[in-house]
Amino acid sequence: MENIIKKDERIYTKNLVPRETVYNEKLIKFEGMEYRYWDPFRSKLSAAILNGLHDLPLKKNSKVLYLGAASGTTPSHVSDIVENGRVYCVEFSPRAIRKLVNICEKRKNMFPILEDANYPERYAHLIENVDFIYQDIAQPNQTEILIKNSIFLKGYGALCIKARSIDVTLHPEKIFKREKKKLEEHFEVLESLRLEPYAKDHAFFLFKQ
Amino acid sequence: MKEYLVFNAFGAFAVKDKKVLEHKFFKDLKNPIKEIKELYEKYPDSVFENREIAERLNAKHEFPNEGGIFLRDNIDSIMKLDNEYYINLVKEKIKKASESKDKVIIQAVQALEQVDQSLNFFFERLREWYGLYFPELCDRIENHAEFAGIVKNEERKEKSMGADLEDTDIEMMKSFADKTLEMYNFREELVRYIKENIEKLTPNLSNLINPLLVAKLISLAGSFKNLAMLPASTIQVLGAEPALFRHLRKGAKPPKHGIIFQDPRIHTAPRWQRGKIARSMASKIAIAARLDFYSGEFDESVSEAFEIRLDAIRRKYKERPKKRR
Ligand SMILES: C[S@@+](CC[C@H](N)C(=O)[O-])C[C@H]1O[C@@H](n2cnc3c(N)ncnc32)[C@H](O)[C@@H]1O
Repeated sequence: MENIIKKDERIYTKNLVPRETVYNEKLIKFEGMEYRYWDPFRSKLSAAILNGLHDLPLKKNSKVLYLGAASGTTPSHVSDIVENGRVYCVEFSPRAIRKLVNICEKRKNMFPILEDANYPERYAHLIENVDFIYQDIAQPNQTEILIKNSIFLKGYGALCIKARSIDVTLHPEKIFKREKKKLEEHFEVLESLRLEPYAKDHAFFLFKQ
Repeated sequence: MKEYLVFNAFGAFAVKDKKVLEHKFFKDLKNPIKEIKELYEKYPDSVFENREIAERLNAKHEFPNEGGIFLRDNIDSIMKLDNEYYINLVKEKIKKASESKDKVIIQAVQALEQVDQSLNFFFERLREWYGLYFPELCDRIENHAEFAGIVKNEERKEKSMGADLEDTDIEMMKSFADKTLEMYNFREELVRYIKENIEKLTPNLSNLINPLLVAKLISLAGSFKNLAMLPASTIQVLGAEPALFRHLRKGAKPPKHGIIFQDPRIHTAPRWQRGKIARSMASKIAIAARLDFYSGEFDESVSEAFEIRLDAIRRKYKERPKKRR
C-alpha cells in the first residue's frame, strides 16, 4: 500500500499538505516525511486496513470517485494516498460539505461535488472514468447506488455497509449476505470484512469489475 | 458512426469515432450554453449525454453514451483540470440552500401525523364497510394497504356470509379503497421527502437515529436551533409532556423517555435497561444536534460512542435487578 505506514498497530498516511491537520489528528515524522494519524473510529477505510484488508489497489496516480464524502475525513486520507491522482467527492448535504470545501482549497487533488449519488447523470460532466470507487453512504438502496455509478468505473472499488440503515429488524449477518450477493451479480468480490470494534454492525467489501 | 456532443466543466466537445472533431472552451464557466449551442449548430445530428441541456436544445439524448465515455477516459490528454471551479460551484449551491429548511420540514412532519391519523380512520372505515359484503376477507388480511388493494382490484368469488349488494354499492366501496390507497402512496412519498431533507440538514443526527425521528424531535422542539440548545435531560422526555406534567403536579414517577422511545434500541430492550439507554441516547442527540446546527461537520465517532455505551449497558445489566424489600 503506497503512502501508508503502520507503526505500533496504528496507521498513518503521508501528509499531502505538511503541517496541516484535517480533524485534529496527530502528525508524526517518519524518515524525514510527515504523516497523519488515520483514526479507525472516524474512518471505516482505516478500520478495514487494521482489520486485515490484504490489498488496497490505490496508486499514487489513481483517479477515485468517492460517494458520501461528508466533511472529508476519509477523503483527505485518500487524497494523501493518490497524491498525483484525483478524488471526486460526491456529497448531498450542503451542511456536511462545507468543511470538505475548505479542505479542497488546500488539497488540489480533491474535487467537491454537491449532488445526489442516485443521479450519476447530474455529475457525469464533472468527473472522468475512474480506477476506484469508494462508497460510504448509509442508505437503504446503497448497493443499487453503487451499481448505477459503476458506469464510470474501470477497476476496483470498496463498499461500506451499515446494517442499521438498511433494515433495523433484520440480523446484520443476513443483510451483509444479501448485499454481497447483489454485489456479486455485477462484480467480483475480493475481500469481505467486518469493522468491529471500530464500527458496529458494518461490513466492508472490496471488489473488482 | 454517430456523432456526440458532450461537455465537461470547462468546454464542449464534438466527438465521433473516438476522436474529438472540434471543441470550444467556455469563456464564462457559469454560462456554458453559448458555446454548446454554437457547436450544436455545426453538428446538428449529434447526441447529448446531459438530459437537461438536450431538452433545452431539443436534441437527441442518451446516457451514458460513447462520446461521454471517450471524454471521461481521456481528460488528461485533452486538458488540465483545476478544482477551483468545483469549489466555487459548490459554494454557490450552498448559498442557495435555504436557511429555513427546518420550518418546511416541521410542516411536513405535522402533515404526516395528520395523514397517518386520517389513513387509520379510512382504513378502519373501509374494513367495516366492505365487511358487510365480504367479512371473511377482513379476517384473512391484516395489512391495511394490502386489504385496500384487494378491495380495489378483485371480485368476491367464493361463497361468503356477507350480504349480496347491488353493483353501485360495491363500486362506491372500490372507489373509496382507491382514494385511500392514493393517500397511502402520498404518505410514502412524504416520508421519503422528509427523510431526504432531514439527512441533508442533520448529517450527524441522521447517522445516530432514524431521520424520521430526528424530524419529529425538531418539530417538538419548535426549530432546529431550539433542539440544538436543549439540554439532554429535556431531549430525553421531549414528546412525553403529559407524563412530565403529571410528574411535576402530583409528584408521580418521572417519565423516563419521550418520543425517542420509538427507537427500537430502546423499546425492544428489557424494561430495566430502557432508562439507561434513553439517557445515553439523549446525551448523544444533544451533542449531534449542536454539531449539526453550528458546523454541520460530520463526525462518525458520535454514533460509534453511543453503540459502545449501548453494548456496555446490555452486558452490565443483563440480569433483571432483584427487587429489594
Ligand atoms: C457515513 S457518512 C460518510 C463519512 C465519510 N465517508 C468519511 O469517512 O469521512 C455518509 C454520508 O453520505 C451522505 N449521503 C447520504 N445519501 C447520499 C446520496 N444519495 N448522495 C450523496 N451523499 C449521500 C450523507 O449526507 C453523509 O454525509
